[in-house]
Parts: sequence; C-alpha cells; structure tokens
Amino acid sequence: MSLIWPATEAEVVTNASRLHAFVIAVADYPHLNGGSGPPALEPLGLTQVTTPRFTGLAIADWLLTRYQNPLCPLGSVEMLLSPNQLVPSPNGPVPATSATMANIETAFSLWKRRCGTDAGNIAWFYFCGHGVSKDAQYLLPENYGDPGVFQWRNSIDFDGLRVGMRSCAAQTQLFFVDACRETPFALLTQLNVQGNPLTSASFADSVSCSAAYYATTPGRQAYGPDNEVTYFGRALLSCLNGVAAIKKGPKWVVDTYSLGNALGQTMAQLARRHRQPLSCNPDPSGMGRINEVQGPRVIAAVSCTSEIADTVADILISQGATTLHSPPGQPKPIVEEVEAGDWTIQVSFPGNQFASAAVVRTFMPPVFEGVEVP
Amino acid sequence: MSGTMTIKFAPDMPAATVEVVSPDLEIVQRVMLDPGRLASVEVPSEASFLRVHLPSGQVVTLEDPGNMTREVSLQTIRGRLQPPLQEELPEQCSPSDIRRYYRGRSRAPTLTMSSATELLQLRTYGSVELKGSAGPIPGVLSSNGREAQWQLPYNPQQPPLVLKVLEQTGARLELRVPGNASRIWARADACRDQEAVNFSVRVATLASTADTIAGYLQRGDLYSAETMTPWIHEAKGLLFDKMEDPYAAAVGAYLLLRLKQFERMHDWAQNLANRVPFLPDGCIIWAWQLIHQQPSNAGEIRKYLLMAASRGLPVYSEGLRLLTDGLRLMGSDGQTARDNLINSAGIILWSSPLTASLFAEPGTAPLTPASLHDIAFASEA
Repeated sequence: MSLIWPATEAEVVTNASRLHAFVIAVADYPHLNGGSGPPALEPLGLTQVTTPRFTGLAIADWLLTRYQNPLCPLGSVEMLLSPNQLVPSPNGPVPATSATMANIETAFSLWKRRCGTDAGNIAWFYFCGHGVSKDAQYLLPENYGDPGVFQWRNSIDFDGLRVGMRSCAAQTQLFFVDACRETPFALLTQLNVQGNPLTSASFADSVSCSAAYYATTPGRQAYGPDNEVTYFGRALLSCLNGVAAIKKGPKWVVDTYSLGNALGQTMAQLARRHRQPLSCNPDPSGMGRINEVQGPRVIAAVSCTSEIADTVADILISQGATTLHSPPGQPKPIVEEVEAGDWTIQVSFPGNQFASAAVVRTFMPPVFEGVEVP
Repeated sequence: MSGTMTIKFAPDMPAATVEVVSPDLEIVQRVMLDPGRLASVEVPSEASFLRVHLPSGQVVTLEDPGNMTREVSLQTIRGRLQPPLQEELPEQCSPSDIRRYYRGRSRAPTLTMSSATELLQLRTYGSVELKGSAGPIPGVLSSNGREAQWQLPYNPQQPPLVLKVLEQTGARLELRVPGNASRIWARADACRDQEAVNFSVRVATLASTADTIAGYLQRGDLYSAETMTPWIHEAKGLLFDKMEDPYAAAVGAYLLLRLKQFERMHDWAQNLANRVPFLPDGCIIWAWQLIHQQPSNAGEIRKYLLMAASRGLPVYSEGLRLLTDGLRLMGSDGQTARDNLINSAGIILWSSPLTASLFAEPGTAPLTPASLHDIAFASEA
C-alpha cells in the first residue's frame, strides 16, 4: 500500500484545495555495491545509504502533524519506502510499499490525478535516495541497475518530470530532491543516459508556481550521518517550522521565495558546523504559500572573527532562561536553531588573550551569523 | 514613534537590496540601493532596523535605534561581517575560506598584465586558458601559482568567451563567460577537510548590478532579486534600445521572466534575439515569453528554441535550463535538438550561474582526488 493517509482513496478530498504529497525514500539498492541482489553491470561506484529511511519518515511525519495551511490543508500522503516498513499515521501504522520503478509509476499516476482535481491544490514531491546528474537530474529507484534490463530503464528523469507536471492542474508544485547529485566518472563517458519522466506536457500547459529545491550541487554527495535524517532534510524541516518564515500581516508564513533563500543559508551554516561541502540549489519560479507557523525561528551561527580567537573563546548566548554555551576548546561556530528576538551574546577569554565583549543582537530569520569580536 | 527613515548608500557600496524591518520583525519595505542613491521609507518605530542582502550572499543587520537618517557604507558594515581574508590562503583550506578570500581579492588593484601567457599552469592541479573568438587571451598567475587572472578591455559587443580548466584527473571544465567580463579569477586549492581539489572561478563584469541580480537568482533569493527590477527600467535605454550591453540585458530579462512580469518585458527579448546573433540567451528568453503569453503561437516558439539551440550553449545556466525544458515541451521534434545540445554540454554544473560543463575522454582514469567546483560572480561584500 502506498497511500499512507487518508485510509482509503475514497476519503481523499478532491473537491477543494488540498496538498497532495508523494514521498519516495530509497535506502535499499540490491543491485548497487553492498546490495543483496545480482550486481549492476555499472554500479557507478554507488553504495547502500541509510539516511533515506529516516528522512522519508520524518518528512511524512511533518506533513501529518505539523503542516498548517488553512487555504490548502493536507489532502493525502502517498509514500514508497525501501526497505518497506510500517509508517506511523493517524490511522495507525501503515505498511509502505517498496520504491521500485513499477511501484513509483503506479503511485505517481495516482498522485498526479489527485493533484489535478483542483487548481488550488499543492503538489508536493519529495525524493530521498541516490541520484546522478548529467544533462539532467536522474533519481534512482530501488531496482536501479537490475542487470536483466537496460541500465537506465529503472531511473526517473526528474527534470522531465518537473516539466511534465505542467500538464497537472495544481498551480503550486513543490519538488524536493534530497539526493546525491553525483557525477560518477563512468557517467562522464556515457552518451545514452536517459530516464523515465513519468509524464509529459506541451506549450499549452502552464503552472503558476513550480519550485524545486535540490540537496546539493552536482558532483557533491548529499551528506548525512548514518541512521539519521539527511542534512538537507533537517534544514528543510527547520525552514518549514519557522526559519524560513516571514511576517505577512498577522501571520508568519513560509513561501516559495522565503524557503529558497532560507534553505541556502541554513545549509551554508550546517556546512560550517559539520565541515562538509554542503550546499543547496534552490530554483523557485513563482510565488506560492507553503506553511504557516506560530512564530519565527532562526539558525544562530555565532563565532569570533578569527579561528585563533574561536579556539580560546568562551561564548554564551542567552535569552531569558535559555542559554547556549560553548567553552574554550569546543568547536565554533555555535550553530543552533533558536527562537527569533533579542539575544545577549557574551564572549569572554579566560586566558585574557583578547578583550571580552557583551552585545545584544536581534536574531531574525533565517540566519544570524557572527559576532564582531575580536 | 513612527516616522520617515532615510537610507543612503555610500559611494563604496555595491548595489544591493535593503530590508527595512520593524521591531516586531515585520519587513516594512524592501528597497534597491546603489552608490549615492537615497530611499525614504515610512516606519512604525524609530527602533526599526536595516538588513542588507549583500551580493556575496552575506546578510548584515544594522541596528541604530533613534537614528532616522542612515548612511550605509562598506566601512560601517565590515565590522558586522566575517572579514575577508586579505592574506594568502593556506596550502589547504575550506570552501568557505576560499569564498572569504575572493571577497578580499575583488578589491585588489588593477593588474599589471606583463609576462602574460595563454596557458596557465595551476600548480600540479591542472591548467587553465581563456579563449575568445580571436583565440587565447593571455592572463597572469598569482597566489603562488594557484590562481590565474585576466583583466579584459570593455567590449560587451563581443561573443561569449570560454574558460577551459584541464584538471589533473583528465576531466575538463568548460565555462561560458559573458563578453562583458572585466576581471576573471580561476583558482585551484587543496581542500582541508576532504581529499579533493576545489576549482573555483569568479567573474566580474562592468555591469555590477547585473552581477548582483545574477547572484540573487543563483541563490534562490527572489525577494531580493525582485527588489532590483527598478534598475532594469532605469537602464532600459542602454540595455534594450541601444543594446549597449546585451549580457546585462539578458540578466535583466531573465529576472523579469523568473518573476513572471511579462508585461514589463515588452518586445525587448525579441530585439535581443534578432539583433545579437552570438547570444543564444535572447532567443530562449523570447521563446519563453511567448510560451507564457502566446502558447498557441507554437510555430514562433519552435523557431526561436531551435534558433537558440543552433547558436550553441547559452551563457547563463538559467538559459540552458529553459532551453532544455522548452525543447522537451516541443515533443519529438525538439528531441534531436536536445540530444545534440546534451551531447555538446557534457555533465552540467547546475549550481553555476554561467553555463559550466565537465567532460572526459573515454578511457581516462577515475577522478581521484575528487574535484569540487565553485563558480560565481565576484563581489566585494
């Protein structure tokens, strides 16, 4: 079963604006290195990954429990997960179907049909797993590399999918590609790389808002610590929960423009903290409202202006009873998600190497960065 | 207490978007400012503050409660920023160190192009050359042999240039460079935290506002990019009537296209397509304006998409994306053109604002150590 919520197709609201989600998470590649199946003729140097199973569940959970948009409430969550496992839902645990190419084709058709029932719908596509980049972004389902078929038969042409979705009536379309945009060397010399776009469109089709957010730039791995949510997944959830929020009238809203800017800045700070070449390639086209939040949040990234000072600095950040502390010797910058507002930053040097300082700064979404001492 | 806040950019500031923010963190207004320009904004409180979205992607917050007349200068904001690295980079450095270094480098004085050579060796990491329509363009080495630099005469009417980096692994990076480029830097640095070589390129043009816009678009910061539209309209005489700088015009048109402000594009894109034959981007922009405004005019759309494909790779990645998407929408008769384009494009580095591709000859050894690529417009803040 790939429909996680609601319980049945008949319960899916199709006569009003709704968000319809399609989440694909692939953490089992039998034909890639370390897999349990017959090996691919060209595995492209790719191995098993653990992060997608955690990331896919985190995204589904956010949609089911945190998504808030009165103009377009949640309508359905379609999910494919490899290895298949139970997915928590308001109706109890639901066994997810594995993310093979055939299952993706079937689930995609159902999802696109639901999305197409109302122009006010939001189409939400999230892929987490392996991807490779050449002329376009190709996403790899569980059975990529099956030696019994053409190498690229089991792959999704994501760029073609995004263009093809212009034929869907939903006028807000959000795509999240949480995949390694790797450029394996073997790919450099292949001429016949191709994938299945799953759908197509013509000049007559149009969409007012199509926004794609890519985990990493091509040639870099979509790093994530084993058995945890990917860095991109974490950054996205932080942004959706308030780091990308801007105030519109009385409400704090995350929209396609604010998400693009915030995701890039958040990934840049995660890159600093984890010393990884993380980045994000946001490609929003058109304005669409995504989520409403209770209040704004900020990624605070605080360090001194030099590495020498960082090594010996004692940094304390406080707002009321909330404090963040990084004593000498601990890695800087401090990178934490906090509430927006006025914070006191105290920087002291127990060894008196530099002059201490205390300043009050306004932390405003998405990122507060740096402190000007010493 | 409410009032009018006056904001001015000092002559040393680059063009940038400024957000005026009330104490409850609501953005009162976004304004575009460039050197010497003034803006007046009604604010609900004297405690309102400014956030400047700098071309480099850094955002600086300027709080000065009670001061309703603000002059923003590089001097005043530098204290709030991670300082640029002025000294030589260490032998092994992080990508963020390299970005900081570039911010300092962009303020470096005019080059002396004596002993310029055509093929520049970047240590053992690779070699680099810049080619124009008349052949290789000499440059100079700096940074202990890790950086190549070019300083170019103002000639925005020339066809695009091509920067080629032959990496030690055998892979070849090719980058389309706009003909209005004034300075180019290409570096190779060993990474501190990964076993990789970081190949980075910065391009500065004399249309620095267009560079700023391209940077905003690259980072997906469309609120800031949207604020820059007044520049397009102020510069329309030079950009779109006289076509003084077709590259800057293309950036402006891409911005309007992205913002779906088609009515403000008039027939500029058509002029760009017809009057600047060396630039595929004009055809792409005009075809997409038609797709949005006259989707039934399929013949004209096809004509300009195919004309763009026949002119070669566009200068800007935004254009390459739109061209491949447009050829997909054409269906089967766009397939051949797309196949040809793809085969000439290699592996495309979509994170670059300028069209950049990687190539390798069959039989070349695998990429070890790995290469990272960081391509952007230069900015001094």
